Amino acid sequence: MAEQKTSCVVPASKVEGPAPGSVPVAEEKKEAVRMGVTVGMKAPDFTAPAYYKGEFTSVKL
Amino acid sequence: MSAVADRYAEFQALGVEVISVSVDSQFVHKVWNDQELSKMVDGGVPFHMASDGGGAIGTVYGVYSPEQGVDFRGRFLIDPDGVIQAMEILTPPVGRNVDETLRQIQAFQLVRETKGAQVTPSGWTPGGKVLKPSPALVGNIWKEWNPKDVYGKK
Repeated sequence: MAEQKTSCVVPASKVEGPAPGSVPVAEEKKEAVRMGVTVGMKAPDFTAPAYYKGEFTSVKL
Repeated sequence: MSAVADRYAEFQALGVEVISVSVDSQFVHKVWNDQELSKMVDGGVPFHMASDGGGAIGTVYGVYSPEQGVDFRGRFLIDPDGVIQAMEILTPPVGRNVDETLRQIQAFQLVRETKGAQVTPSGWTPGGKVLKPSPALVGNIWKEWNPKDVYGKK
């Protein structure tokens, strides 16, 4: 959760692992791709810019 | 979100960390906290307000609407192993219930502590009747538990 240098550029969030929609077409034909999660699944990790107690920082799950 | 912020101490007492996520930038979060949320919650929001500009996080969690450009109201309970144990997604007009979130956390913690030897029936609250799964219980739950014991007669 490092403090960030403040600028006018809005930093982007980042999801760990394959990017959404990156599943090859061939695989999509085999199995319907369901976006989203369900209970019992490992929660997708992410890193995102954040506001926290007066500071611009980042947070990681 | 202000309701969760207002009761953050109760989440902390249960060993739970909170992260809020929306598509708004961290700059918007600051203004929102300073101009509005801090007027409802002493000291402002005490947890990280994450920015999901573009909806990358919301997409993988299934709450991002590309048409509206927002993350819908979603709440995910993630256990210490990183596994999603509960999720709730609502359209904007209806808010969530912090009491229910805290109740579910306590229920999941009990199940985890007992390694599944105790499970919680509908409406369970701490101290309430639990069930102990076994072959003998199958078909005999009615002997152990009745919904009227929890919800009363209506």
